[in-house]
Amino acid sequence: MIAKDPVILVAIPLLLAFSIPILYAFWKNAIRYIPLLAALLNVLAVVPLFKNSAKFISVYSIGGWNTKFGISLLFNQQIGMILLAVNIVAFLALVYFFYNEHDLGNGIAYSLAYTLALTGVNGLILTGDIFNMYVFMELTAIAGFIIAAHKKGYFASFNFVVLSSVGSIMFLMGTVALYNVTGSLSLANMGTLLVGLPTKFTLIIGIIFVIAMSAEAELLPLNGWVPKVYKDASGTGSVFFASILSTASLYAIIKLMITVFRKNYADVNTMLLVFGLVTLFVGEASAFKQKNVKKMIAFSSIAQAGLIISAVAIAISGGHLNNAIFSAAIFQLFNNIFAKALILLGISMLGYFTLDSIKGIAKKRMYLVVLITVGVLSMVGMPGFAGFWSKIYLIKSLILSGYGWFVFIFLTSALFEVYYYLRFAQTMFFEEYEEKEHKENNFISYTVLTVLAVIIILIGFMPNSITGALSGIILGGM
Amino acid sequence: MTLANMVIIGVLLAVVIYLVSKFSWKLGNGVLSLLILVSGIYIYGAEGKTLNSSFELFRGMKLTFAISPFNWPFLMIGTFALFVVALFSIQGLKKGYKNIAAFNFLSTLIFVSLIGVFGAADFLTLFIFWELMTWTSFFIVSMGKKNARKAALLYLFMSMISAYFMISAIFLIEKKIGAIDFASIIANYGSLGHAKILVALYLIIAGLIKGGVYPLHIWLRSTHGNAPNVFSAVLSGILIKYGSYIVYLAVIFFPVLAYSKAGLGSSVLGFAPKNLLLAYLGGLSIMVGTVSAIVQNDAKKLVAFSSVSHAGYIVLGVSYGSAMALAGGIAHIWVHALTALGMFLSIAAVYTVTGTTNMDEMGGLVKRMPVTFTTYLVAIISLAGIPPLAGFVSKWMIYQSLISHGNYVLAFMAFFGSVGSFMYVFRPLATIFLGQLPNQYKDAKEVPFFMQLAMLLVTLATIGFGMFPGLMLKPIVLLERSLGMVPIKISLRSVYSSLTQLNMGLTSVVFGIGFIFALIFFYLFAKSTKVQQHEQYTAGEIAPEIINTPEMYHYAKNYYKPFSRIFEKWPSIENGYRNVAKYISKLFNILDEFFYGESINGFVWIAVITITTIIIVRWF
Repeated sequence: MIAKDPVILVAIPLLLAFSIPILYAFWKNAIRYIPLLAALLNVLAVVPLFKNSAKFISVYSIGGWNTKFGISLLFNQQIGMILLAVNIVAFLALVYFFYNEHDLGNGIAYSLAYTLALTGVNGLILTGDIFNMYVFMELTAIAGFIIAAHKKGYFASFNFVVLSSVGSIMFLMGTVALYNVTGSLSLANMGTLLVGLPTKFTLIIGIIFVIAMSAEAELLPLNGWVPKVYKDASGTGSVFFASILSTASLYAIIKLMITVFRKNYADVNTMLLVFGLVTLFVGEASAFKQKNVKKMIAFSSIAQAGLIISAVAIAISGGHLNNAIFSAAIFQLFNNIFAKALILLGISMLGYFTLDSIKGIAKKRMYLVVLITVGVLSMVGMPGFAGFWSKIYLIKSLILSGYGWFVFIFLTSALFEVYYYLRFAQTMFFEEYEEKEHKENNFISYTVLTVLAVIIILIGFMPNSITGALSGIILGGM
Repeated sequence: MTLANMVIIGVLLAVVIYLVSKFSWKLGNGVLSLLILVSGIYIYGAEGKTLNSSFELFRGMKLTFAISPFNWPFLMIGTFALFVVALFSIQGLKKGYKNIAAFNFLSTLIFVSLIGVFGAADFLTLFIFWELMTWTSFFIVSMGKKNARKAALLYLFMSMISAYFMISAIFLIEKKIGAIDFASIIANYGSLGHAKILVALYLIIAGLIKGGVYPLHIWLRSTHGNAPNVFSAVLSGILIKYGSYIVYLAVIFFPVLAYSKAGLGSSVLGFAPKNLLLAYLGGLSIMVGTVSAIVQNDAKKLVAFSSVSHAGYIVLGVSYGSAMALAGGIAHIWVHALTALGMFLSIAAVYTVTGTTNMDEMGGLVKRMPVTFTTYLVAIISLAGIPPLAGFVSKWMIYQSLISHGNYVLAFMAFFGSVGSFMYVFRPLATIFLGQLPNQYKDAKEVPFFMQLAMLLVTLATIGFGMFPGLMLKPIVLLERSLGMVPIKISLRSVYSSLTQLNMGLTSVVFGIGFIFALIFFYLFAKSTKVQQHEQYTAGEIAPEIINTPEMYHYAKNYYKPFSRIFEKWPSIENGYRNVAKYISKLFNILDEFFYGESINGFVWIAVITITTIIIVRWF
């Protein structure tokens, strides 16, 4: 029934999204069922793609056009794993939405936006064409405006609108510049054509693209919206930004850098590193000072984005792609998807967001707090949980390739991260409890969180089931 | 049963123990004690043998374990200490702890980490269990008194620094040698090249932080002072010995100076490698720990600083570079584990009865709690290194090797610690157990059976190892032999050094006779008058503040005031660290305000910076 073509991942949610308003006219529950259906079909559609894809990249052209001119999608196991994780998290978040948040404001706009955003996100991860990437980015951003405003977070959403519009304009500028030089829009093609240009030119294009994507990817120049939106968004909304949007955009930016500039790594790696390190430092420093848990996670998410970008920069600093560091960085990205989703959903189930109000809350909601703690322990990389292995692999690959100074920076930032994340866990468990009201949560919501926790623990004990697929070589077959 | 199985069983049992403890936490503790006891018997039976085991976590990741003479003493004392604490907890946890089921769950994981850290045959296994210990102990420390949350965070911060140094060292080894199991490191030591200095440095820093050695001891005071009482015993008795173990591994595996002199290809040198810098650091730690302990007012904080001082002895012994000093250092790990257990458990016992660890609120408990008193007394006598107890033996060995090499500076430091420890260990004895009994504790009773049993075990071990040092030193001789050294000469009752010989049997007899004479004189001639607790200061006059705040006039208040006045003005390294932390925190505030403040200033600045960057790159 499901064709073995990744384009279906883009088509399913797009089709279903626009059926929501029509169905809503005579079936009010469409806003609950349709997004769920879209995410479920997406998950089911990713799985068969793995079968005939090796580690090398396969290019799927759309409409029979030559890759040079037409739209193309790239797929390999690494991309597949990211897609799978993103769609699973989207599915779980939508199950949560189904029971808890469907009546929280404008439900129809939200579910439409969420479904559309899935299109954009899958497209961002899959696309092999720069103009297509721009379209998907815009689509996701517009959906994001609605998602951010779901719980009346209009100011935050407006912030996002402004910043991501700036990013869009930059992206368009960059695209024009690249097309001017290479005469092509396909990532793979541009990579081969982009040779012999002055360093200044490649550098400026690199900077433009990083800034352009930095709004969605939560990197520094344009990420001022992040803490505000996280704070005001609904539970599933913040999961969308933390786990889905930021992962997809980060992956897109990495893909762009890795493929387009593959003859010019020496020119762009320092630039990427600067963006990454500044983001990392500022993110950790701000997260350290937060009293609101959602904002804390927002800043930690920023810091993680910075870390992953700088790790990728390190991976290309030798003039070619260092596969060990690169796949470790992607593994880190992969683990954060689940951990952040778990913490954010758990927090929104608690219903309290400041460190003061969650004091000792474990007394009443032990199971929930334990689940959140699983996410926290994975985030900070404690053994027994997924995050431990990505951290270990990253340190290992960095030291084996001789980047000790970067390990120092990474571990210093990790030190602060451990501190504020475990302070949060500690507050929930051991502070004096004050009597307060609690939301009722149904069994299904707990199941959603349990599934996420089980995934994290399973990866924690069997990371090889993931790392094998994740180390797919993104450049292979190009 | 193998170590690998023990770890698997431990992890599975942790869940079972959690569930059982929900239902009846005494039973949960019982199961835990039984698990540790069975493991302890297995380890005891493996003395002198080398048993390897492993299990595959997933493809390409094998956890390897080994019992060998090399780590047997550590495994044995660790298991013993945890067993004692588990026994003690059966009845000792009653008051004040809300999460006893979680406590038992985490304690089981601590036991697993013990087997993993001491029993690991490669560094990555060691690291995994080390991290396990970090987060489990963090949560346990958080369960303590009111200030425990802050203390636990400091503890966590320091532990993570230590862990990160360790993991960096581990992958440096892998980079140079290509493997991280102990056997390969020994075989290919030569290919480490100059990296060995860095590796040794990182490992030693990791060990010193965890081991609580000056100047990296800053977490000890607050953590020990505020952790649950029972867990303070585990912390001081065992967890800081993890650090000593890492220092020991670093000194044995990566002998920086000795290697360059001897030019050997293998790190097992056949003699104890010397690291004088580390030895002096140990000496410094002895002095700072001692002085700081003397001025503490809280019994647990006092013992915490004594741990700093004794971690210094261990480092000094391990790194001094003679078979005698090495044996003394490792023996001191045993001795200090036992004394820390004795002291913390007896303080915990006092706490379960009185509800406080503040020394100036207590007194005269000897009549109500004789077993606790005896435990404490034996522990501190051993700690101060007075014959005929175990503490004397290990210290004697360290002194012997220092003096026979003519290193009088270090010898002075070591003696200073010994003399100073008389002062600080005497204080809790005098103020908690001796003196007059305050009215509110008139009806205090001795603690229940299991707590007494646990304390009795510790006391018996301390006395036994003192009278028969051969019991304690035999595995250490095996250890030295397995390293290819010429081991020290011992017999069941005696230790032989190059200068003289120590016969503990004879010493015990002499001291026994002395004790009996003293006792006779005491009963014949000592005449005491009973006065009320607060009478002595006011000569009968009743000042108004006596009624309001009687503890101000307790004789334990400012017990060593003249002494602490000497050290009042000394610079404190803890204040230095605190100031650095303050500045960093301020910097973070500024950054946060600048980039993510509520106003749009940040955006404007960022826009300006971005555009300037683009212009600079494009046109200049």
